[in-house]
Amino acid sequence: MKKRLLKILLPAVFLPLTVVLGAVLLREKYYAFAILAVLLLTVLFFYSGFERKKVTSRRLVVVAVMTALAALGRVILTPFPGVTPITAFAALTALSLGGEAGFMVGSLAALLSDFYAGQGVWTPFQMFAWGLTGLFAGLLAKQLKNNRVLLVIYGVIAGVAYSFLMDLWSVLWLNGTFSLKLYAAALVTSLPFTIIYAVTNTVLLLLLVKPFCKKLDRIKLKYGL
Amino acid sequence: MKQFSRLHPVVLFFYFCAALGVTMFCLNPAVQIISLGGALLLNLIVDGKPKKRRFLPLLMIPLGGLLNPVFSHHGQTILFFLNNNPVTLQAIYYGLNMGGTACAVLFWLSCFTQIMSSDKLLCVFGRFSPKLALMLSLILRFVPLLGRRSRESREALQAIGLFREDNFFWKLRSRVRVFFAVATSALENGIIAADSMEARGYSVGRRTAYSVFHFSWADGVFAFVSAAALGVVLIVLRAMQLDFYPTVTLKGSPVACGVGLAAFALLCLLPGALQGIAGLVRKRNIRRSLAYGKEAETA
Repeated sequence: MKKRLLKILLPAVFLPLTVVLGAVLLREKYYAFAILAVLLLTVLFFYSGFERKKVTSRRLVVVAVMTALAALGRVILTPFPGVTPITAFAALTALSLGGEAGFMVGSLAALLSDFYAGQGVWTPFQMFAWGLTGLFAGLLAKQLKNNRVLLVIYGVIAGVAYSFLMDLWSVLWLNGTFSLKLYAAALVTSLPFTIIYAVTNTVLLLLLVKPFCKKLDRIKLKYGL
Repeated sequence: MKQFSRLHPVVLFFYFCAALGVTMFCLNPAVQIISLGGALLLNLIVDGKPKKRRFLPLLMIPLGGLLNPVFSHHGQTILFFLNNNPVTLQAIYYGLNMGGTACAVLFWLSCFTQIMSSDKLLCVFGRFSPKLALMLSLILRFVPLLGRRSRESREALQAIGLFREDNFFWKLRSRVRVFFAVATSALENGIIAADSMEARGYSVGRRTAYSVFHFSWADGVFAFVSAAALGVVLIVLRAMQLDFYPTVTLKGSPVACGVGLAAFALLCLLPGALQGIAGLVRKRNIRRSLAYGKEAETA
């Protein structure tokens, strides 16, 4: 249990904390790049765990299918700015297959859909943000599965957190240093997007949670994942 | 002569990391301009006829110049006061420089997206993480496959009259129906694929990665030249940095900075030159062989 807690706390709490502290305390000019490095390391940390673990081929393929569905959904929905199903799919996978699978789906779907939407410096940020959405959904799986209200709250929080994280990134990227005023300005300008993210997440989660949990649980039962 | 985009993926990846790294970590407008020039040149040559929209990131330079002085008030030369806050010349310079960095990085990444296709990335990362590479190639196969399946499922539903586009409600409902059908079948078929992987020895022994790319002498020469240029830049990197506050000053000696800039220019212009020259040589060869063919015909 202790080990598990550390495994969750390290990437989810300490690393973002380092990022924020570094941005506020350090008087240097390269936070954006430092943070980029931290995020890449975090994602790599997860992937290395996945690499070392013995994963059955069935589980691997199911996670790959969910990732492909998420990435495909994002590519299809590109005409509607801000509407992406990746959060919903990462969370849905996590509900049935656990947080780590959710992280893989969120981060890999971000990476792969960016092959279509355009790779950029934002890719590690998206991988991190969507991966975490999946991870947390896995931690709260029991509560989220049976409670629609909690699920709605989760969708809204995930959307808002995603928007806040991406704004943090734009401020650092354009300015080089963290500035609270600029961050506030960025948050206000991206408000419509924040709302779109939250609404998309909620609607998709509510629509998909029952059929997808049924499908995944059935596969789990039938083939023993 | 080998085109830049056909070099070995590991060499290409190393090159992009070098160019991006120096651009990001060297605070000097000359570096930004050289980097931007190299990236734009490569972009133009690789893309042929780029859309105007592709040059939109250039707007980040004036945007940085406008935004930074509003939020940062360091610097000696005060131009005027805005809401009782000083707007300084140095802050404007710094903003322009940051905008230039952001813009140059975006152009390099746009080259990266066009040149490093997914198979090349798999070749690079398959060495370090064969399982992740397997997962990525599975997904890369699933994305177009699922697209095809959804077309088939849609046609089947259309044939039995369940896919209708009469009004918004039916449109949505039909699409959702297709989506669920595809998702279920994909999950089921995935299990079959997994079993077939298992039967062919998925979990037996260590996974290795297969690569279709071969390392040729041209790759070696390119890697050596770019590594040498990067080495020179890294040695004099401290001398190339500019201090913006309180006044704009160069940290090291101008000579060392000049050497570094020359090495960086070589690094940045190399791929564009290589791609362009190799392309021209190829065109000339084609023209010659065509002319030769015509001569042979008339004779």
